[in-house]
Amino acid sequence: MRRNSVVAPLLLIGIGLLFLAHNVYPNLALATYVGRYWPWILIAWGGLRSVEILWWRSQGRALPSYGLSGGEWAIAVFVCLLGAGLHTADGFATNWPNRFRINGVDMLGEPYDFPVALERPCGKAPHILLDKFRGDIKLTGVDAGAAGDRVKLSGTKSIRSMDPKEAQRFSENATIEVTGDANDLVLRADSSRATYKLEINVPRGSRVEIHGEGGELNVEDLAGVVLISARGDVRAKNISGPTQITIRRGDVHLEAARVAGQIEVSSGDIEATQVTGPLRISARSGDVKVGPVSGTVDIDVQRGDVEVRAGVPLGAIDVKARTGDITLALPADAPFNMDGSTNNGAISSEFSQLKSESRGRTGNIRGSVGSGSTGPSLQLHTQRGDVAIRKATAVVGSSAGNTSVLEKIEQ
Amino acid sequence: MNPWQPGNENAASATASVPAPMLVRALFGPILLMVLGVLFVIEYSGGPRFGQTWPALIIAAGLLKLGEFLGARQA
Repeated sequence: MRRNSVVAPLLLIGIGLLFLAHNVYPNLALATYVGRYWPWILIAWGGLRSVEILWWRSQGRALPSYGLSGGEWAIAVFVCLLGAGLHTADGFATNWPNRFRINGVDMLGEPYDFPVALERPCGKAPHILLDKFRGDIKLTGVDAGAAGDRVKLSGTKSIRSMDPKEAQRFSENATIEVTGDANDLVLRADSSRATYKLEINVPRGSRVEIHGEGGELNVEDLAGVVLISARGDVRAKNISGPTQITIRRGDVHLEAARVAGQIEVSSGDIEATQVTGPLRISARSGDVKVGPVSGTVDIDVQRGDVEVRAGVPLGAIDVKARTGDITLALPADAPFNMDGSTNNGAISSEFSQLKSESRGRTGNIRGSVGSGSTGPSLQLHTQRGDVAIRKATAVVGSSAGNTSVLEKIEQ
Repeated sequence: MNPWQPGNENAASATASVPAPMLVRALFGPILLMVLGVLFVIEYSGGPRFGQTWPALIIAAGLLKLGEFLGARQA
């Protein structure tokens, strides 16, 4: 004889209500609530069953030998697995309030935006450090306004949260801390929960350092930049001084810059146009496209194709690729000494003065063009890939175009 | 006794006085279930993790069995 239990119907009603609630309020974070409160289902279940057993006893009815049947235990285990799974997905067990983060960004909850505005007077050519910012930053060098040189920051910070009150609370805690003096300013974000979207204006002569925690960085018209970020694309334009870019994952676009530093990317493409070297690029995985570039160029790529369009004055060029093609376009009239090789690939050249040899899949190309020994040394070496040396057409690396870039940078 | 056979009530008398051991045995499952729930609630409210507190389940099971044993001896 099976006893009638109140638990199973209640469980069914509860599950039905949950799904109904989800259908009526699609925004309800059902998984979060189940993940957070599911242990109470077990407690309620055990409690109800205990009350039932005591009730049966007081009624003088026979008791089951075990309070929970095998099937019920199976359901309980299933509830445990489901609940613990939801809880883990929702956040990490010890993390309260619950958070689910991918690449450091909260994925659950609604984003709530709060305005950000900050203004500080500063020197004409200050060093500015933006530290621990997550999100997109557009930073532009501008001329001093009526109020003098200032660092002006505006935009929003976005905080993901289950409810607006909690977001408000986090917003109040997530402030931008400003330290340092007018010539050495440090702006530090508490980005543990906030994702920023900022437009920042600084004096044109500023040297800016951004240590981002992910997001797009876009900088323009500055005396120098250091951009460091874990993720996100980086764009830098019209940088008249030392430039250093280090990102783990993301593409780099550099335009009209004097690079007396280096670009390091673990995964992502690099494109640099109208650049004055010395340019140093180190990339793990991604294509590199540079040019027109003047001055020395040093490129080291593990996996990816390298394309360099050299302008004048032609500097020493050293390109190493583990796996990838190397294409170098050179001004037709510039003197240089070439030394190129591939361990597995083809070699081609538009300069008849260069001598190439191939043996099986390996090949090398050597020789001098123009006044030979006085020209810079060009080293192109790939383990697996083709090496191509071309004469630059008028469009690429034309001396006229390059001069204007140099003039722009001199200004 | 086979725990996977619920409703095996033959052992229980249908009289008003259900022996204490039978009661403890019947409450065994529900109480363990509640302990399980409580352990997770403790974890989720910032206390020790379930990975650390699970032996409490064995202790609870032992205590219940002990109660059953003592009840049987008294009876």
